Amino acid sequence: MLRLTLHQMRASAGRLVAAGIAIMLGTAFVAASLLATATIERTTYNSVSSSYSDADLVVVASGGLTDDELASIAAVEDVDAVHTMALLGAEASGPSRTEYVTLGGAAPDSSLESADLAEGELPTAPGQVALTTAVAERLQVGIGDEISSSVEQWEADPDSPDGGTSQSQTATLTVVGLLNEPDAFLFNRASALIEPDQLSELLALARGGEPAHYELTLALAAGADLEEVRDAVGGLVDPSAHVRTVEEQAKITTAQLTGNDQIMTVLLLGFATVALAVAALVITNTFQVLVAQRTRTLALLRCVGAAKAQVRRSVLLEAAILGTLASIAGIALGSGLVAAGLAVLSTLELDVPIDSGLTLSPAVILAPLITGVLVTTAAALVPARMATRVAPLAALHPMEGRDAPSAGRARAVLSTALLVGGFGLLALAMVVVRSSGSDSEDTILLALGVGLLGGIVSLVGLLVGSVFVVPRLIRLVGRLAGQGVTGKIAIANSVRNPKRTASTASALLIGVALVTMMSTGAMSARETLTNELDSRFPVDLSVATGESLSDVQISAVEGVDGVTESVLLSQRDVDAANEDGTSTWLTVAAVEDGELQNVLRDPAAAQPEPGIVVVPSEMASWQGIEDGDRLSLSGSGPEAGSTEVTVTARVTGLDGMVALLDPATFAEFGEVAPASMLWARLADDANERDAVRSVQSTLTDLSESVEGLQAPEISGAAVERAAYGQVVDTLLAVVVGLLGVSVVIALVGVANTLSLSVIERRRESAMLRALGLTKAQLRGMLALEGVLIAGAGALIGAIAGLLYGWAGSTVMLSSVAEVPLMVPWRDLALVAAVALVAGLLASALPARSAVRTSPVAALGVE
Amino acid sequence: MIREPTHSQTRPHRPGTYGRNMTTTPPPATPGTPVSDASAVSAVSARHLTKVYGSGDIAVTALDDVSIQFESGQFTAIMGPSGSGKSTLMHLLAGLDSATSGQVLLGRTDLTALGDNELTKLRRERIGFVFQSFNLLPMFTAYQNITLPSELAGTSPDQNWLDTLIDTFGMRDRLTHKPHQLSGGQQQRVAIARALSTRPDVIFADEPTGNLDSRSGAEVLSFLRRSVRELGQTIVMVTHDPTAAAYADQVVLLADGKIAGTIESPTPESVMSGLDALRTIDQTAVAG
Ligand SMILES: Nc1ncnc2c1ncn2[C@@H]1O[C@H](COP(=O)(O)OP(=O)(O)O)[C@@H](O)[C@H]1O
Ligand SMILES: [Mg+2]
Repeated sequence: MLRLTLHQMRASAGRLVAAGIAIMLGTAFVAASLLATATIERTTYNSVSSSYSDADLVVVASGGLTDDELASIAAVEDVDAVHTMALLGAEASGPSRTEYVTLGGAAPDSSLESADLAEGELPTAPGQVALTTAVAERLQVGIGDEISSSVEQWEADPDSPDGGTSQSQTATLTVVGLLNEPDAFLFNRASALIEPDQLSELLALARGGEPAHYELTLALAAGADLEEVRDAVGGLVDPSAHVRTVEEQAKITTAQLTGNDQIMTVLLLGFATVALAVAALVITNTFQVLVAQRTRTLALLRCVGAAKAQVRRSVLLEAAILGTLASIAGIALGSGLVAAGLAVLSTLELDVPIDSGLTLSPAVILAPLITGVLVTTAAALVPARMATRVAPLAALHPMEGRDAPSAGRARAVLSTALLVGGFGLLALAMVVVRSSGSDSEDTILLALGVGLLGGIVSLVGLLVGSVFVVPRLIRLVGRLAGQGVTGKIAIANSVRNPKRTASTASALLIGVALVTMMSTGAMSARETLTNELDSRFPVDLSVATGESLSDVQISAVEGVDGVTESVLLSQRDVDAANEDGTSTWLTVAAVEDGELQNVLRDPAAAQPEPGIVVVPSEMASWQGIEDGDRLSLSGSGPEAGSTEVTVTARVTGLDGMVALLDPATFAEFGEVAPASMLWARLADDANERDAVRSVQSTLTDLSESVEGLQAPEISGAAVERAAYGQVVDTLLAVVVGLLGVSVVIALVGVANTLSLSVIERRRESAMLRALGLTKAQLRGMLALEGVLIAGAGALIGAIAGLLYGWAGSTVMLSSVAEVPLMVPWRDLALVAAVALVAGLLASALPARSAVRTSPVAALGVE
Repeated sequence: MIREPTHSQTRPHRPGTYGRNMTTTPPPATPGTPVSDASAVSAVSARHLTKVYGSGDIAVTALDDVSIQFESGQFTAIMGPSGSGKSTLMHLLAGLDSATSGQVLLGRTDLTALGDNELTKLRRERIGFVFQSFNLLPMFTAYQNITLPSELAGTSPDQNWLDTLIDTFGMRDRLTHKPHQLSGGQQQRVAIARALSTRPDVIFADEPTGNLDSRSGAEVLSFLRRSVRELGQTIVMVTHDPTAAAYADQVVLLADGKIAGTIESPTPESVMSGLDALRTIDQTAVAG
């Protein structure tokens, strides 16, 4: 039987290769996910262990160790050196700038030093410091220069309202060395090293004498017994502390650090599962056709005495062989992709040291291999059963021209039930969230669970029912669009084998549904956030400083592309006496120059009038002001006059801590100070992200180049939108990219189905060619067929995805705000275009072989 | 049915041997003689047509310098032993395959000078086909199958002509049936109606009765003959059934890639004896 199986495989090699590509892509996905995770883990491990340098032992004490304990550990026999890894924040000042640095101690022994000296030497005495080159550059100091560093000293004081006082302790340090930049990947890296005893002193100051050493590295004498020393050190410290080798510690730390990556692995594997599911559909399809084509051979085998079980085993064996070969190719492809990715990353000079070698553990190879073989074999189960149903008598009957049997009633009932049930659950999830109105996490989780179940059930329903829907849809579309006989033939051809067409379209349906779901969800999320932001921020862009804005800053902002309107506001502090007797103070602002309504997105939220002060809600609750309160405002500060104005508070959903007055009322409190705040509106068609970025960079450049200019605070809806938008878009791009793999697999399926049709209809095509069908018309027919199949899958997928997206975003976001049900037209158009182009592409190769068939083939008998 | 003798490519060609056994005089267009440039143009003609399949050691000369012409309004049957080149000749005449050398003229059009698209266009406008099997598109009705060629050409069929065809073939009550609802003979009738639907210059039929029982076969053949007699069509039919060939106006005998003679007003008996003569040569060749 094995020989026969192999022989049959050789005969159908082309088709098997196409099916194998589907499995290969799926397993490549699995392999790449696992490899990427392994690489991240190893990179982390390397970083962690390199931070311990060549230490022999690491002492980790969550309760901290005192200086005395440190000394007693150093006194243990065979311990050569002890290095504390404690860090301390400090301000370092050069001639013109002050910078925040992290102080660490220089290791007493070179084997414990993880810092990488670029120039000079490491500090060996108090008063010396080694800085990273970047810090030295920013402070504008070099070797031999002096810097002053100040550490906040904390002293507990029960009388103080804060429970203690802090005082700054300043020391002068001489720069003796420059350090290379440490890996940015991890914690634990000092940007300035000082002599360890001085560090201990400063630590004692800063922590008020509390134990300050949480991690120590030890260097042992040559030939020391590691276990003996470990026990000796362990006996000196608190039992909760651990004494470990670097390897042990690095493993533990890596596991803690990469805990979050597990989620990523799970997500990646989730996408891989989708890809494999789609691949399984393609495989089932291919094997069904192979079995159908081999009916004669199979029947003959049964005639000469092959048992049903043998026939089934032959099909499954074929699948297993295919699965094995394709999985091996997939693992190679996945490893290749990851290796290529790493090679690219390592040339990018990231701060992270990436090891460009692959970590090929047995799991990375076995998991995709086993998955691939199992999926392929499982996908061949139905075709294998089909093969056993071939009656020996079939060998005696001609096979051609037999139409595929139509799907049964039970299937229709099942799919209807699944669809109704699934979409019912989805609706239920939405209703639960909408009606409960609460943002309790339990409700959301419950709704999420119900929705997820509904989504899966309805998707299965779609797949089961596709055999009814897809052909009808194709006929309908065909009737609407199909003119001309070639169109009619193409449409008739595409629904000739409803099951095959449906499962081909289904493979695409899955990918398209998920992509559409994601983009619908992303769009709803973006829109929900945008609405939220529009009502919270009065304007797109707000630029504010503590003092006054300079003209260069104002004209710089106004000159940025996309900024259309701007107004200048002036601020002042006023005392406010509420009619209920409480009193407080408010920062109020008023327009100094420009028309407020020109820049407002939501005028109702921010439009002050005489007699009204607009108070942001957060500020209102902070200050105990309620909507409608009557406030008597009076100037505060020495230069304020005795003006007192009574206004009504209007509390709106604005963000921030500045209340708004109309200019006339504002002016009553005395001379109006120069504007310290600029509000700007961006053009509706402007690229918000670019505009925000260029405002930010322009202002930063100005504050660096112009003496005495403060960098202003930039906020506003556009800034937030740009930030959220970037996150949402990046996530979407990643997810769509990952789902794209399943779409590609589905297209392999479409091409596969088409080429099978071409083979099956060889004589028919030849007859049409003889009757006067041109090569171009034949190509066009196949292209149309491809487009119809792909289009049907894409259309159903898009509709389902839209519903899933709506349900998903409603469930997840309605606690934030009212979720609008958006249709991502642009993305849908893109999906449609991809489906159409894909259908065309998928038809290209089959069409090539179809037009090669000579019309003569129609005339002869087999 | 005739047992077709096996043939041998190396067998010498001896033209005179069987000429004496022919029961009829040579036809107006003598096979093998140069085609005259007379003003009366033949429906189809071939000049010095040679077809070689493959090359080198495995080269097979399927047609060897064949010149022949088929007049308009004639029903011609091509006969000969299996492998004698009947199908090859028909493919070349119909523009389905290209000749190694020589010329094929459809009316005044030189097919050998045309590219694939021009040939395709010519086939759907000026040539009709009836095949042995797989004649009809299974998902189309009989009527849709009949109008297929004009639909492919994007022209509307001549309704009066279609009516004539449908009535001549007695298909009126079967027009909405799908092929699988029709008998083999009925399917072949639809195929003939389709071939005639564009009033082609010539219709080629390759073993049109090969898959039919004798009664349906006879019916189909009489329809072919009626197409010629009553509708003025030109038909070239390949067959190896002498009874079928007897429906034709003349029979062209092919042997070993060459024209071996023609039989005018054939009867099954005259065709049979013509074939017998070929077989005799064959045996002579084997013996010699
Ligand atoms: N496509 C082909 N390739 C190679 N040889 C062919 C091909 N078609 C036909 N032949 C050869 O050409 C000769 C004539 O074949 P054919 O025209 O089919 O004969 P007939 O139809 O009279 O049986 C035969 O020897 C046959 O083997
Ligand atoms: Mg033949």
